[in-house]
Amino acid sequence: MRENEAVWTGETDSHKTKVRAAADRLSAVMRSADFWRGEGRLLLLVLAVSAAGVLIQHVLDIRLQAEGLYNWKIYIPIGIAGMLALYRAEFSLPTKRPAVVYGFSLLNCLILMFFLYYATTGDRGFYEMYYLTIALIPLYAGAVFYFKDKGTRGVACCSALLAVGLVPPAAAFSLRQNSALPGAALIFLLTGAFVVSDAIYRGHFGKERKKQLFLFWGSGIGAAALAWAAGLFRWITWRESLITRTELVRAFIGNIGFTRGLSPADMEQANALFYPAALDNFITHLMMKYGAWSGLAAVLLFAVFVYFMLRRISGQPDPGRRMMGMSIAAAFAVSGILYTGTNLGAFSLYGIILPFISWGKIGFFLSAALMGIFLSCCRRQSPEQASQASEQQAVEIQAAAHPAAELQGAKCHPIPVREAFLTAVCRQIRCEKAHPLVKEELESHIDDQLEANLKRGMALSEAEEAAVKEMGDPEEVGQLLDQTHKPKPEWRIIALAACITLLSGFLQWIMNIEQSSLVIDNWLLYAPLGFAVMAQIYFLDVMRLCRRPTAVYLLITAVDCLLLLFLRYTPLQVYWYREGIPIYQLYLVLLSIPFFAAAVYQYRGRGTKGAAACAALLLVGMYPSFMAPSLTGAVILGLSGAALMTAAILKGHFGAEKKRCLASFWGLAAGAAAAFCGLTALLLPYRFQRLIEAFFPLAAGDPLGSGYMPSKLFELLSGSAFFHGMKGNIYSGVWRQINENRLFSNFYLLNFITIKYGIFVSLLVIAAFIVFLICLIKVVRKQKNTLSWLLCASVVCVFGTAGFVYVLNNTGLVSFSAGILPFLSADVTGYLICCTLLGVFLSAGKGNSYIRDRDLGQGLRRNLNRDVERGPDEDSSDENGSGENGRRQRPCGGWKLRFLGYQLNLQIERRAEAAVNTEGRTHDENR
Amino acid sequence: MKIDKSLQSGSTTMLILKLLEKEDMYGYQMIETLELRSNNVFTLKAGTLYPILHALEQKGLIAAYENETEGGRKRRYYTITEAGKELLKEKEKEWAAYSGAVNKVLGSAFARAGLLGGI
Repeated sequence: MRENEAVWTGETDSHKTKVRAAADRLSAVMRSADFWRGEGRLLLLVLAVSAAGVLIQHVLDIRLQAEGLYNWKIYIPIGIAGMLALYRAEFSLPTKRPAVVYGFSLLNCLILMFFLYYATTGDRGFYEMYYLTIALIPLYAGAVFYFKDKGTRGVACCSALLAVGLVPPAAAFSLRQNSALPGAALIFLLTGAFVVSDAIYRGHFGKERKKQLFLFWGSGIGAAALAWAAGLFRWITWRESLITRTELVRAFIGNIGFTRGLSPADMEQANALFYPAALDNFITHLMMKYGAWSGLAAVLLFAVFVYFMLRRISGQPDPGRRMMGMSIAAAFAVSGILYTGTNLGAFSLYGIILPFISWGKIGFFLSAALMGIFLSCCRRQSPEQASQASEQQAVEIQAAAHPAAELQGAKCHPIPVREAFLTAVCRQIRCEKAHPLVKEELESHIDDQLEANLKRGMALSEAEEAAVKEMGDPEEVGQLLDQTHKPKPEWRIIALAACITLLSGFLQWIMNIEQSSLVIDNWLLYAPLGFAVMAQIYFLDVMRLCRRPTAVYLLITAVDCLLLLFLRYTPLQVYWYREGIPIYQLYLVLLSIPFFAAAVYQYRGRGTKGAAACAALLLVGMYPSFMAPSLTGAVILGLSGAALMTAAILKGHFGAEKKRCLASFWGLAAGAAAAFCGLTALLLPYRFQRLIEAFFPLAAGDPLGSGYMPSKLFELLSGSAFFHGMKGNIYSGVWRQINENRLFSNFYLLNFITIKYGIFVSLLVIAAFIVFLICLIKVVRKQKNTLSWLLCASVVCVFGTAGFVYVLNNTGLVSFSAGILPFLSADVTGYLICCTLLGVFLSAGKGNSYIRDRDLGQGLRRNLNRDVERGPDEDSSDENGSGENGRRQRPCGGWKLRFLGYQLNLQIERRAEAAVNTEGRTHDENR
Repeated sequence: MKIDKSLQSGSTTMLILKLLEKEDMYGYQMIETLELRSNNVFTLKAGTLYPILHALEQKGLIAAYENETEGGRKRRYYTITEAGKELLKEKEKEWAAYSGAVNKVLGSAFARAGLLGGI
């Protein structure tokens, strides 16, 4: 199992070893003299500033407000540890898609905000939007770096992204007037403007600097003027009380001297007016208590800190790191200016923090995280890294500039032409998972051509160059292949999901069932939100997210058990149970099924034992559902898992012995089910009776007790006409009964449709759902690699079984706990869970029908231990003596040495001779 | 003789499918065979071939599998599918009609040129 996980994740070391190794590396870095000349000093400054912050907050005695200060002994070490961890991590820019990362962070902010809006009351939670906006700043810098050399178009894009970045705080402010949000927007805007202006000044976008500056500031000022005209600036001075507060600050500050604070009488008045003292007017308080010098000292300390930050980062030679670091330093500087200005009564931007001096818990963690990234950006590359990077850059430049001409002239170049060609091709292909296949195939072709060239009598290097030249222009080839391997979203599925969501909204509208709590009451808001969630999951690499599926699956199960154990007996159970139904338990189960599918993937080729292990996992996952008790969850998980396993076994996923694997899985599953039923019947006869009643409510249930609802549903159904609903008195009677008993619920949507419009319309709804399922199945059948297949199939199984159980429940044939009809009938969370699952489906199935299983494994492994993989190849070439001259060898397999035969040996001899000659010459010259 | 690329581009898919109809082949072999059979008229670059092969595979017209050579190297072989065979038939018919029409036009033009020359 462990070995298998290692293959899956590419990890060969245990966690402890890794943590130890990371700590060793960190201590090695911290022991070096370079560190203490650069980042070390800044680290000490951070500690000094934080200590000053703690001290000042302590003397001001504003602990009640600064809850972070209560536990500073815990928060500061955690923050510093996080900072050091981020410092060790590589924030190498350009990241792959910074603009995309930035966009998705924005989207996340918006989603979170809507959740906060509906989940909380008052300003609670909205203050965190301030931190999120500040955290966006380095991401924005990354996005700016991405537009390198893009000229005025790049500048325009950066301006647009800056404007988009203001959307989350502005939208949040429109929902809840939190005083921190205008400050956050202003910090983001000013820092962003500084980053772009600095980039233009340094020629990041190209040569026409004046034009770019004019465009950026012109468009910015124009947009600001428009916003002013539209009245958008009103929200800066939005609350009278804040302006009054500012005026009071001005009045009190006018009364203080340099070395003395307010007089006792004034102080009493100030305390009465300003109580409770908060973090956002921290310097005002300090000055009122001790005189102007104290506030000045605090500001000076912070200014020195920011000055050293700016000085250190401006010397960074790497433009990407400099830009990201500069953005953080600028954000700190702008925060400092706005904070000080507010404290002196110049602005009314309350609610912002002064990093490391005036902070709460999250504020400190955010500052520490930003500082960690900053320190990482400050780090100069070691000479070894620098040489590696420049070599890599040379390969890329050589391949990108003009490959054919460059490659021709690269006879004595140390970088192999083949590697340059393949790198250039792969650079054009955006789908990274297709890289191994493309590389392997093209390399095989080059080898064939090389072999032919050698037979024609060419020398090795000449033959290789000719073979690569024959391949054509790498950029053109890459672009053509990119078109083929471009991830193609299943638009049909997305369109179908949209149609079904529309249908759901329509049904709920015509059924007029918004009174129930389990209804999408804000359909217009949640439908787009659901699709946004789907899009997010789609763009995430689900295959990579499922790295430790068994652990995650078991964790979900454990969390489920714990919540059931503890929540049930607390007032918090209202969040877990809706109308007496543990609905969230069902959602956890639904979410766990894709992880189960990924766990099944881990047991591939393990035969009967693997199948038995999967059966055991499935049974473990079903346990909390029985505990809840939520029979729907248990049945959905059981049926989906069993269907998935059966299909996987029949596909030969566990090996050739399909019958034995089936027997193993079903034997264990059926045995456990029988044992469960037997034990329940013996030990808990009451529960067993309930179980029987749930499966056969019409036969075994008490028509006045547990079987009331099913028998009523069945009665209503059997009394319904096919083409029209109930008529006249019967209809109004039933409807009144439903209304009076508050039976409106999405759980029985199909039933209500039948009562109102007849069985035919219900069947049409079911048919629409089945069409959706069939389309999903078609996509599953297209999947070529096993993990995609399993993930997609698991989602189909979840939807299929959930739909099946829902329909059975609605007919009254069974009486399980409430379920959902995916996309058609669910509450808000249920709908979002369905969107998440469909996102998993789309992400797993996107355009990677061309990826082989082994590429998947390699892809995950490649990044982690590339060197380990290369090892044996290099050893084999060393055995032949080619490593002696110290040149970096292109990784090549043993087979190549075999088929190249004497040519390679000749080449090695020539190289050795050349090396000896060069050495001899140098020796002579030295003499 | 060098042929105008635009003449070749329309028929490359058909030529590849035709090659695979006889036997399963790998990329390099296809280029070699094509050159050999066309007396070096069709010289397909590898950079053109593989994108076409991958696109055809995605459309389900051909399928790929891996095979090891004697030297231990892995080669990706392509084989034609039923859908590919059907498409090939259609393309062949289309080509026969097209080339026949071109020949007719060229033939009559040549004939007229010969007549005029006679006068």
